[in-house]
Amino acid sequence: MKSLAATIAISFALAFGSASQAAGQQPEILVSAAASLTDVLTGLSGQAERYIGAKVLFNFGGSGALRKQIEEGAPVDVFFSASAEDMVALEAKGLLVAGTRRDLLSNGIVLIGGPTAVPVHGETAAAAISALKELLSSADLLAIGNPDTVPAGRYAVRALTTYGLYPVVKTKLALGGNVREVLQYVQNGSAPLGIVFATDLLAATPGSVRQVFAFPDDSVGGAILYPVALIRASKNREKALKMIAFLQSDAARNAFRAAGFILK
Amino acid sequence: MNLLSPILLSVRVAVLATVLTLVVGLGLARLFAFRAVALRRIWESIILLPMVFPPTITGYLLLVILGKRSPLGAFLSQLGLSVVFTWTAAVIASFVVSLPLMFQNCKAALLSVDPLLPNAARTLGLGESRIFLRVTLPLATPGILSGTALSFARALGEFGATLMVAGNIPGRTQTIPLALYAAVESGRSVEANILLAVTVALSFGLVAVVSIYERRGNARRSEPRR
Repeated sequence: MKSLAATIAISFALAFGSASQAAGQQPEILVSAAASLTDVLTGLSGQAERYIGAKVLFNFGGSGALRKQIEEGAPVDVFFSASAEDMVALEAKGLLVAGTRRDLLSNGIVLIGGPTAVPVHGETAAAAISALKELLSSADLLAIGNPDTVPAGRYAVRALTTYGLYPVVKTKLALGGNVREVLQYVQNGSAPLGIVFATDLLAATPGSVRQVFAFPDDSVGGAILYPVALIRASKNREKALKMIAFLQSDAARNAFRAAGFILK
Repeated sequence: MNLLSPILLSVRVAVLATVLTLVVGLGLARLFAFRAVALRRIWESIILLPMVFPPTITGYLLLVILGKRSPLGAFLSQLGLSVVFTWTAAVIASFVVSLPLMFQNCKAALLSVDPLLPNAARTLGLGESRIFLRVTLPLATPGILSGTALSFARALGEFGATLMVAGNIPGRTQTIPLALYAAVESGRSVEANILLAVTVALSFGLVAVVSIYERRGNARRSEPRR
């Protein structure tokens, strides 16, 4: 028993010893950002810190979960969402600082296939849709995100419905738990076709997937926006506003463009 | 990306959560094993709930309980304490999800001790707390150890509840499971593989420590009494 107690004491000392190093009292900004922004924002964090003169921390997650955390009073300064709906909900509850919302980016959804897939072309929109219909009818599976929980899946269903193609694929959908899973299905050949965000295509292993068709904005009921805004509970509004300004700077815009986003 | 920070954080969180569950779980197990507790089934069900709940539900509940809009969260924030999005929240999440494992194992271990032995100590005039420390606890040690190992493993692997209440903040609250998920999502397979290897090493280390203690305990028990 004594040696067990000693082990516990030592582990306690280790745990607390390493804990104290984290307690720096430098100003900090916490940005809750959509998971699809993880790579590009992580790459920008050094520049952002120099620009605003404070430490920048990111909290990445699904936009819906991030919104819920803000509603429960999580100490977030800036919210960078992948869905306008979640931003509107926070706005309606008075949790945003009025006038700080900017619709910075937009994204599109694309139909992708394996490396040998042939892009769909049509002289007219109607011709493109019928070519698309032919392709989807001949495929045995179509991978999309689960429309109940995955925004990319929701947009996919919306676009297919707009074009009257949903009945064609209804019985052969492979539902992914998130959009990157859908990309994986197509990359490893489990599904011949899939629908993902245009930005996911750039994250794929080069040469493993090809864009077959890009759905225009009106097929999903308007552009897929990425709004950013200042949270009312922010204790450091000046730095947080500077962070929003940084996200509109040339450096940030170039990084977003390189990641496949469309700048607004 | 810094891989050391999620590893150190995970070890710190899992160790603290395990020590906490050991103290609380063992205390509760002693209470429920040997004392008459009013409404015991209801209390036990509440302790065991996080084992049945999906972790995200547990996390959501913790978020609501600890968030600034709840009475507890409001009280804490008046004291200048904000738990949500700190590594303390990660410890709390790991503690809550691993407590049922510790409680069940400790209770079973305490109940498996032959009541003749503490009773014999009682006839010899030993006090209750000393009986527990000197007789019951040593005899129950193997079961308590396996409960500790399970709790540590559960705490180390905690994902859903942590994500909700501690967030996924690299360098602050991003533990190994969260960092691994992010690495796989972004296609950074080298990082994912390193984190996987570290987790395997930690788990092997844990199993080794437990089996050494168990072997030592068995050897001591099989020694002839002097």
